[in-house]
Amino acid sequence: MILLLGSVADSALALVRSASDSIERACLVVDVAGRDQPNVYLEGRDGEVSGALEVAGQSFSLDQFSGVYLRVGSGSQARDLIHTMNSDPARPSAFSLLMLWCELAPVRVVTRPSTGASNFSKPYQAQVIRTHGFTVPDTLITNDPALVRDFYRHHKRIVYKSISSRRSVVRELDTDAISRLDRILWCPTQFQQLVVGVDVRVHTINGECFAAAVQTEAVDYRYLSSGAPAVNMYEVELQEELADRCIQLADALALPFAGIDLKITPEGEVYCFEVNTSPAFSYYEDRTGQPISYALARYLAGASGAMLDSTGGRR
Amino acid sequence: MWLMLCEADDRSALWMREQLESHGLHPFELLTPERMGPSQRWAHRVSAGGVSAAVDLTSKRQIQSHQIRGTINRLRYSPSYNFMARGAVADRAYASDELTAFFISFLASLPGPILNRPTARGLAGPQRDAFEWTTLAARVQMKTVACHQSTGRSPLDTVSPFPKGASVTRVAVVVVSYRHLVGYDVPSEISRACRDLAVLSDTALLGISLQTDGSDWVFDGATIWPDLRAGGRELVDVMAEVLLSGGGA
Repeated sequence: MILLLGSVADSALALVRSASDSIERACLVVDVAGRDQPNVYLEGRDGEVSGALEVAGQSFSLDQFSGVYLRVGSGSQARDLIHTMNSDPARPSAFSLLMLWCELAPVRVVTRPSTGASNFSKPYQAQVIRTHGFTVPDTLITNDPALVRDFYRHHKRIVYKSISSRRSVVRELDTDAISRLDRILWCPTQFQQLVVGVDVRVHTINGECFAAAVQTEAVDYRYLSSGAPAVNMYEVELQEELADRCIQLADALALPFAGIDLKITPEGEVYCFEVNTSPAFSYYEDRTGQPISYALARYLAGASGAMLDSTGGRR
Repeated sequence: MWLMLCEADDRSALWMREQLESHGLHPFELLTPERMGPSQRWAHRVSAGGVSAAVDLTSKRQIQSHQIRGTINRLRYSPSYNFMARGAVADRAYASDELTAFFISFLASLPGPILNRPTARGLAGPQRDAFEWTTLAARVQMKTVACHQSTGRSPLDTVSPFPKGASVTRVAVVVVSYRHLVGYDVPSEISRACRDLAVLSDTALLGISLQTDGSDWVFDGATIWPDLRAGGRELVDVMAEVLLSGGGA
């Protein structure tokens, strides 16, 4: 059985639920924001963690789950949720206990809370990314407007965006934004060289790679207002060396499922912007038809990894 | 330059800094959250070519990452409140996350040994609760008590491993740089398990509490903020050696 923890309204969770049905694997959905919270019991003994989950009058041993899809956002969002659900911190909520179990249990979890936290600080994650053979864009985080002006003069075009897991729209620094630069004095802010090229979202799951190219003139294709440039998304096959590097990066971050944001310049240089630890993959699956949810459900059901040929390459 | 990051009332850290300075690790710059705010100029760069961090403490005093040879990091809280005092109330939750994310990356970029390296789970290393520490301790073959937690009940139920009325002593040890154990002369298999716990938990400076009745040794807790004074001169020597050797943490 697969345990799905998240909001029933979440489109990614709905896709995994549907894919679980298609492979005839039962799943239990626990709505972490729902009114009726489950009861959870955990026992730690000799390094093993076991327990039970009681929901809607039914009891489930935690051992019976082959995998868990934890779709509650990452970093601060998950922490906010724990805080909200823990009205009395001395009395743990069902959700906080399930997070603890996900952290420690020998079960497939997408994604364990500790590894999911790596993109809570994007420049921290970028430090890891750059050690795995990817180019990261020139980035300056500062509360000094003069340094930003120097950085802008050097790169000619730069963007600014959040560095935590709080979502923000990536915006290009324009004359209006430059006139407001004094506001960064009280909060160091991230500025980054604007890289021109094709956005590529790579989802890695259990040794498989699904890549989608996004062609647009928009600075941030995820948040488009009316009248914004058009977005053209299509499936692409990555060169084997690049696909392997993506899988290795996800492995290095201990992420069984990752959404890696790349940009490939006209000169063929590959920049890596970030690795999403709880990717909203439904946006890409809906537009490309890539069977990401199916691969995810198979992984959570206990399927082995991508087939390897005799040389160790992926088939 | 060496760097001590701690709260102003962290007497244990202040004592260690003083000891290390007199041990020849000079200057040992003290940076407390109270001195980390918007009146300083902060600059942190990440690029294909490298990573750097700099802060201007005053117009004449600057800390640049390339000057730093090693760091002791015992920050409990993000210094974000100093910055947010000037920010709009509506933006505080956003700013708090942004500032914490900034300090995690800023500290992680410092060269040389860092005791402890910041992680997304905590500025001074990964924070864990008692249930998680106990589970990890059992996985490195330490004797532990079974523990239980359930929804809405007190955080942790455990049962004493010793018979009622037994004479039990609580001892504290500190593991430094995954390999040096200081603080109490414990049996070799316990010493090995303590070092293994530091490795498993990826914590370069780890305090471990044990209970013993003279024959059995039982894990009693762990912390990423051990009392450094309890380690005495021996701990100062080990910390100095680790910081001067430039590796292993």
